[in-house]
Amino acid sequence: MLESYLLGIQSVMAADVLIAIAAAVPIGLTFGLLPGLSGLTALAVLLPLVYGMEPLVGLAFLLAAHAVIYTGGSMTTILLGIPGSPPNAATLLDGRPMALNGEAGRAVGAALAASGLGGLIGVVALLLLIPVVQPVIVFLGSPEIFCLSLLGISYIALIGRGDLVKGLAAGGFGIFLSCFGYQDISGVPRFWSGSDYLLDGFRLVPLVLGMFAIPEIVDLATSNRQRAPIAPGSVDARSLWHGARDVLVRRWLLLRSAWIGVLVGLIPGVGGDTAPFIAYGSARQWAREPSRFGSGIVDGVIAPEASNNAKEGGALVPTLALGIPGSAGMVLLLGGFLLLGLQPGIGFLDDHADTAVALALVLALANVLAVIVMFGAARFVVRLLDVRRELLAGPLLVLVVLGAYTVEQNTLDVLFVLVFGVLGCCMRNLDYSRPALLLGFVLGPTMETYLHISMQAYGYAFLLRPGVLIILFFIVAGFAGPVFRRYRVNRIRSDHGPS
Amino acid sequence: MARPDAAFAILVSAFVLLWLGAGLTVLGYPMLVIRAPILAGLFTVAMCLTIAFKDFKAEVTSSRPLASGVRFDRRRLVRILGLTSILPIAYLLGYGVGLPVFLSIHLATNGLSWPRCLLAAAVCALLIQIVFVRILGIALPQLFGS
Repeated sequence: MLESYLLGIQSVMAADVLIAIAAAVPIGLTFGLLPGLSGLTALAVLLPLVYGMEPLVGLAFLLAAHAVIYTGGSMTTILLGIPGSPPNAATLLDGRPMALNGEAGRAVGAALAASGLGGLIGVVALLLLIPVVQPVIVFLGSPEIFCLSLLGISYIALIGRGDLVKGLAAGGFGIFLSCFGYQDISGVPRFWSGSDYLLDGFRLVPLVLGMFAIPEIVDLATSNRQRAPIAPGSVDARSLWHGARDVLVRRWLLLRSAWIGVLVGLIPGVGGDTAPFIAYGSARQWAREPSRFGSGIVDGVIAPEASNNAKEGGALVPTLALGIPGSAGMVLLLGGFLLLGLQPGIGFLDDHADTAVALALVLALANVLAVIVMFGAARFVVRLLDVRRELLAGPLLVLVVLGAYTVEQNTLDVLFVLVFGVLGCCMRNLDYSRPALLLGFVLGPTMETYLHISMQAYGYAFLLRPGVLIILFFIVAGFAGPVFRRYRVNRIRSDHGPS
Repeated sequence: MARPDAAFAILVSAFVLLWLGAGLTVLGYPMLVIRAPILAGLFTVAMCLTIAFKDFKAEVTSSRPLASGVRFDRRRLVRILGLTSILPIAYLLGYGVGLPVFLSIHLATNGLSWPRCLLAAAVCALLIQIVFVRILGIALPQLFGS
C-alpha cells in the first residue's frame, strides 16, 4: 500500500497532470460563478474533450474542474444572492445576510477558506478510507439509505428559520413536485398530462434558477435607487483574512462539517446536494445561539462550504471502490473513466490504488489552487456591486436564460424558470423556506425508491435494523431539540409573567 | 392582499389536491405509483391548512392588521413586466440577437446612455457567440424559435 501512495504522488507531479489541473481550475471556477452552469454541466461539456488523453491527465482535468465549482459558486451566492450551483443554496442562508450587513469580505474569506480546508479534509479522509472502505459500504442497505434520506428531510424543519410548519410545508411540496415524471420503481410516468417535457418531471436547474435567481433579479430590478450598494472596501485583503481566521478559530465546526460532507458523500444514492444542508442544520443544532442562524452569522457560511468540498472526497470512495457513483457528478466522472479505458469497481483499488491516490492528490491541489485564485480575484468580482443594482438585473437575467437553455437545449426549461420564479418570489415574500423545497425535491425520488426496496425485502422489520435505529435516533433528537428549547422558553416566560 | 399567507397555502393545497384527485380518478394510477405522491401531498396539505388556520386565527385575535407579505405598486409591476419581455424578444429575434437587444433596452430604460447600452449589447452578443456557441457548442434558437 505504501508503494501505491508513493507512486500516486509521483504520478501527480508529472508536468501534463499539473497543467491539466491548472487549466481546469479556472474553468471550474467560472462554471461555479455563473448561475445555471452547474458542476454537471461542466462535466458534461468537458467530457468529450478528454477522449484520447492519458487516463490520469483526463481524469485530473475533469475532477479538478468539478471539485472547485462550489468554491466559485460561493462567491456568487454571497455577493449577488444567487446560488452558483444547487449545493451553494445552503450558503445563501447566512452568507447573503452577512453581505447585506456589510460583512461581504468576511463571508467570502470564510467561504473560501472553509472550502479549501474542507476539501483538504475530504482528501485526507479519502486517503485514510481507501484501505478500509469496502466492508463498511457493503454493510449499508436500502433501509439505511432510506433513513439517511429521511434524516436529510428532517433537517428541513431546522433550516426553515422561525417557522417549523412553513419549512415542513415547503419540504413536503418539494417532495410532491419530485413525483412528476417517470417513477423510478415502475417506470410509469406520473402527472405528465400528455406533455413530453413532463415525462422526465421538473428539472433541477430550472427549479434552482427560478426559486433563487429570479426573486433576486426581481429585487434588483425594482430596488430603490437611493439604497446604498455594498461598499467595495468591505471586500479587501483585511476582511478576507478576517473571514479566513474565523475558520481557523472554529476548528471543531470545520472538522464536524467536513466530516458530515465526507460521510454523506460516502453513501451512494443519497447525493452530495444534501451535505451542506445537513452540515448547516448540525451547526445550528450545536450552536449556543441557534436563533442567530439566518441573520448573518459566519458559522452559517463555514458549515455548508466545508461540507460542500469535503463531500467530493467522500463521493470518490464508492465510485472507485464499488463502481457506484457517490454523487451525480461522479456519474459523469465514471463516464470519463470508461472513456479513458479504466473500470472502477470491486478490484479497482487492488489494481489501481496508485491512480486512486493520485486522484485524491488532484483534489487537494485543485482546492488549494482555487482558493489562491479566488482570494486574488475576490476584489475584482465584488466591483460588480459598484454598479447600480437595477443595472445588474438585465445581465443576470440573460445569464439565467442562457444557463437554463444550456442544460437540455429546451426552451421549456426557460419557461419553467419563470414559472418557478413566480413560486420563489411568493415563497420569499411569505417567509417559506426555499432551500427546504429544494431539499425535498432532490431527496424525494431517493426516498421513494429505497422505501419501496426496504418494504419489499424486509417488510416493516427494516425499522429494527441497528443502523436504522441509530439514524432514527438522530432524527428524533433533531426535532426534540427545538421543541424542548421552545418549551423551556415558554416555561420561563410563564414563570416570570408579563414584564 | 388581506391574508397572503392563507391565500398562498390554500393555493398550494388546491394544486396538490387537484393532481392527487386526477391521479386517483381520471388517470387511475395503481397504488404503487400514487403512494408517494399521496404521502407527500397529504403531508403538504396538512401543513398548508395549519398555516391557513393560524393566519385566520391570528387576524381574528389580533387588534391590528397583519403586515402584508406582498406589496405591489405600479412602478414595481411595470419593471417586473419589463423583465418578462425577455421571452418574447428572444423568441422573435433568436437568442443571439434577442438577448443583446433585451439587455440594451433594459439598460436604457434604467438610465444608462445609449452608447453604453449599445456597447453592452455588443459585448453580450460577442460573449454569447464565443462562450455558448463556439466553446460549449450550444445551438441557440434563431428567429421565431427555429
